Amino acid sequence: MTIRPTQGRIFDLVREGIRRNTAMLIRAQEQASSGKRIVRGSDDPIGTSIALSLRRQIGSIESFVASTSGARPDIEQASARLQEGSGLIADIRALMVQGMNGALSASDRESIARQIELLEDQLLDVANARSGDRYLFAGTSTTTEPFVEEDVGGVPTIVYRGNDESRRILAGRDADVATSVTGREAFARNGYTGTHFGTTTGIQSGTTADSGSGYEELIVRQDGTSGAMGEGIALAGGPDTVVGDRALTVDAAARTIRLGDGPETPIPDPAPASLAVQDEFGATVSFDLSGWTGVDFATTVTGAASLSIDGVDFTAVGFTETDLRLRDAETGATVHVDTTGLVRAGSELVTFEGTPSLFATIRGAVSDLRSGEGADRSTIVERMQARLGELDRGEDDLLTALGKLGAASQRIDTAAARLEDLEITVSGLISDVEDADFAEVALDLQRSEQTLQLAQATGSRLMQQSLLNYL
Amino acid sequence: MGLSTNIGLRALLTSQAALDTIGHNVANANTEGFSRQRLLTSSARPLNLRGLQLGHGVQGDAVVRSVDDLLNARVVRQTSSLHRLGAQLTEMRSVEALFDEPGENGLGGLLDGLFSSLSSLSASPEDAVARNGVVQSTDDLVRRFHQITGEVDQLQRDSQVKARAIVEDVDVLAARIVELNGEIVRVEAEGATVANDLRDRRELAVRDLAKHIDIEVRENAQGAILVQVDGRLLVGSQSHRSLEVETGADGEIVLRMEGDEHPIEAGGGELAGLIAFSERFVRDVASGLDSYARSIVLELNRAHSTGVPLDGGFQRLVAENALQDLDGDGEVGDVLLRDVGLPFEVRSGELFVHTIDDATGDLRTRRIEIDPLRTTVAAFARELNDIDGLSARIDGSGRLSIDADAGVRFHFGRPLDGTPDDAGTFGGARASTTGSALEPFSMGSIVQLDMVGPVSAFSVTIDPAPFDAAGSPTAEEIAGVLNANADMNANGLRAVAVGGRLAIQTVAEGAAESFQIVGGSALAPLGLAAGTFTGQDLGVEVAMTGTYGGDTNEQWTFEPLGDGTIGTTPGLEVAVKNAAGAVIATLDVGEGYAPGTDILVLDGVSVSFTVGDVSASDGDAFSATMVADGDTSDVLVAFGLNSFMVGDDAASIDVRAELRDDPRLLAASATGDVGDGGALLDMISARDADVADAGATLGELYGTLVGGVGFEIGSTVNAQEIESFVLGSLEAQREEVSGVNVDEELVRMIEYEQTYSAAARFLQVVGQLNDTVLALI
Repeated sequence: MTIRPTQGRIFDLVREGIRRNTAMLIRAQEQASSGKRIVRGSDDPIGTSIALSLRRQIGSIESFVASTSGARPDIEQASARLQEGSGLIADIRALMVQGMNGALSASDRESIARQIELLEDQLLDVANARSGDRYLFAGTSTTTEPFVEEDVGGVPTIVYRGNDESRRILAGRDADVATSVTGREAFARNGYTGTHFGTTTGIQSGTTADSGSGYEELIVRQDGTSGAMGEGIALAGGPDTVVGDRALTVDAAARTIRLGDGPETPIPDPAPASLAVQDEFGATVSFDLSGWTGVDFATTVTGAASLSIDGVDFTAVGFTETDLRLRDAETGATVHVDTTGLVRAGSELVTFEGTPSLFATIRGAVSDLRSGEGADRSTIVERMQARLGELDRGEDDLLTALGKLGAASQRIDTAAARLEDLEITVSGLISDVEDADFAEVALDLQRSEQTLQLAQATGSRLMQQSLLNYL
Repeated sequence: MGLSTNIGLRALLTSQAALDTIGHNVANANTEGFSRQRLLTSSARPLNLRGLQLGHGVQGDAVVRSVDDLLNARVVRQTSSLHRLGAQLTEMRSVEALFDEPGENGLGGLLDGLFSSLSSLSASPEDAVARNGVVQSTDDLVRRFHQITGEVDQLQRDSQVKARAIVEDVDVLAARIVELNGEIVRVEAEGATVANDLRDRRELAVRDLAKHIDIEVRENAQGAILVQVDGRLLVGSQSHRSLEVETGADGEIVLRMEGDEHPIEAGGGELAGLIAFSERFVRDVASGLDSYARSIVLELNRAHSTGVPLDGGFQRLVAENALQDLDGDGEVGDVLLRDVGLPFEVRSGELFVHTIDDATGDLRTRRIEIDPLRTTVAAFARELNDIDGLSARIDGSGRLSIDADAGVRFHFGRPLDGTPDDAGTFGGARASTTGSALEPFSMGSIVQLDMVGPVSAFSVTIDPAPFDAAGSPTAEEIAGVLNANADMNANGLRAVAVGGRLAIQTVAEGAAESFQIVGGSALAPLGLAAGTFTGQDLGVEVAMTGTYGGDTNEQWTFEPLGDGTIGTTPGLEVAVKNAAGAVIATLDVGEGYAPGTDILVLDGVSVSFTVGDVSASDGDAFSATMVADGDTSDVLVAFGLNSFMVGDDAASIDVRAELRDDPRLLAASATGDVGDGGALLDMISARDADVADAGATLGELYGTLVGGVGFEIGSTVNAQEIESFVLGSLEAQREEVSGVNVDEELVRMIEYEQTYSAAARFLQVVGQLNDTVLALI
């Protein structure tokens, strides 16, 4: 069959051509004005799927950024407070060193103690720092005041009431970042390493391990001195501090009296009714020499003793126990001691090394500074030195906590930077998929415009063609 | 002469007729459906005159249309196909526009917004403003769901309205065809001619009809056409029937022939497009939206239901979802959890219920085993009710409610018990021994346990029959029997369950306490050993810290591997066993361990022991429950207890109403601590986790849904283009056959004009001939 064109067909073709080209023009115009290559899902279903999944990635990133922007002020505030705390500790340390100076008078020490107390109050403020309604150093018990004063065995003590959990945010799939340090980590970490006894009384650790935290006072009580006396020499009846057996030698020729390996003490004339004689450990026994017959005399005197760490229950010792258990029911502390080296009565500082909170150490130092006139200066210095060691350890813990916050902050920064990069990359990918390529769109637009014009031009020419023109 | 005149006259008349036809063609060049007509001419019958066969001129035989009936039939069919796609596409594009993807404001963007606000809250879970933010962004999401699903419904209803309008037009067209049929039959019967223009009009009506619905057309001997739809007669020779539009069960369009029972299956035309849209497409989109909404509810509720609200627990919880008495016996309690008409499936698993005593802070954990094929509603409620301090009941509307006594709160989170050895069965100050056998104990017959206490020697008899699982009692059940025994009480003894084992101990503490197990047939099944057990003055205190980060729920049992003193005895170790009895960690607690310091066990949990003696030979042990997921059975989600969202499809999805009123109820914490955001982190993790049973993440589900709509539209557009091209070429062919080429007609016109002039000239010549002859007269 020969092709038989008709006018109708020509008109149809022209119409169709113009319609199609106009549609292309509109599509190009739509892309140009919206800036999107995919205006609706069906424009490119695969591209839409890709764009949706890329958008999800952006969503994840945005949600992480949302959580970090919530967490960052807390981290910064906590860091600032811990730095403040570190400064306070340095001040307290200086005051404690100053307080150890033997030349200070009681009132000087009292004034140092007061200054330390003021600083301790400030440190407590730091430890109970809040951001908005929540406590920064209470772990996840953020509405509980973390450090409060409570009565423990009759002593007002600062105890930790928060918990040991860190607040966390999700930094990505299955990756969480701790955004807080607990009060325990920063101010009251339990890093128990062993029990330390002061050296005054000669008490030592027993064979069994101990448990407890902070400081305890071990009291070695002298329960009376006994011994076979003679030559008119009698025991004056105290107060004595000797614990255990000690040789007593009275040298008539030199007119001296000597306890153990202690210094030879001259016997005054007339011989006194009470003369305190000191041994090599500084323990004393008082003798009544008023009836002394004036001849040499030697005997052994024995000081009985009992021990207590809670100041209530005393256990008598036989100086042979190598593993005597002492308990403080109030604080839950248990220590095992070796009594064989006991030489004198006194109060001994027991340090559960690595466990005292900063507050326990500071309060202990204050009470050391205030301890009575009669207290042995060297004992006080020794105690203060032990406390200084704990203070330094406490400061280390606080700095470690500060470091953790710094690391968290850095991790967030790194993650944020990485996420920012990722966001740019992903946004770029989304743009590749979704957005119109303007150069291409411009070309498309121009091309469809030209095609349309061509269609119109040829159409109008075609439509004018008719035999009628020549009839 | 007469002959010549006649020939001339015929030529004139025929040319006239041909010119009329041409005029008719030119006049109708632009008339839709018009077929070019042509006058058929032939030479007239010759006359035998004077022995000559003389031609008698021309005669017009008939006016015929130039048509190709087969081609027309194909055009009709193709029209139906194209219009089906067109109608479908228009509707589908409206649905696509609802999703507004890819973009910021689609459901995907709003879900991202929800996760973003959850993340913000996770940085400070106690923040009231951030809590409101979460509720707000959830609200935005559910509103969008409601809007889209409402609009989809509306589009489905609109398609019904369109279908009704089309059906009315079908009626009009059918009536017109009947009418034209009548005229054509009449005209063609009378003159044995062909009713060209009437047929054109009828064909046009048929084509219009085909736009609406696909039809089968057959012409009968009289020239009338019969039109069938889906094998049923729509237009007969005398009359037609009407179509009816009805609404199906799911709101889809059902097409029916007047008076017929079975619906019509339309294969083409706009009606078929509308039906396909209202039936399949809407159903696919709606079910995609529903399952997306349902997955969001399921996944978020899963994480949220085991979370703890700001107040650290619940005083009262009421289930959102009502139970249905599907067996219809008026009693809902006897129905299995599987069959009780809950919107989400209950799986086989376990639920941990924790109660906290406000005054003492004591935490108690109860594990409830759930098997949807065995556990009935009543059994589940009873288990909850049996927990000290809780009462549970099913109210009149079929909702489970749990109430706590005054001063008690409860939750389903994953707190870590800081003091796991409350009973002191691990080096505690009580005289104590723990059996080595794990529950359920195998007890075939009545057994007895012979003991000597400080007061008397006695025996306890245990009958295994009355237990829940006869012959396989649990440690709790055996402890119950022992603790009910008068001799046990008189001797100051008690029994406790320790991680599925049985421990017997003195009530009082101290080195003076002791008791003796002499023997008896109960020793073997309970794993107890005979011996004398003595208490001690210094009990070991066990403390646990950390957050369990394992993947599965575990029961850890701690046992010393030897006798000795914590922190003192060289080489003293504690073995940690899981529920299966496998050693998962060994802790060095001997010489060198500083008592009271934390030892990491596993998965973020640390334990510490204070100084004291532990003894393997006395069967020291304690156990701790490590909860990774407080509800592996999804029973909370199914009942709607402590939900984040309610509903189970796109129309019913919503924020739990109480949460909207009081955002403090948002269960952000996993442990019960206000600053903990564990449940929030779980909710956020739901974004990247596979949805149960779907094998895809939430985002992928949505991508599939939106992508599916896009693909469907894209492929329909392609199909439409192809069909449109085919129809175009068919119409071009039809135009070639039937169309009017004006130039062609003009050529013909000149041709006939000249013929006419020639005939006239001929007549003139004949006239002159006549004149010449008359002049002779």
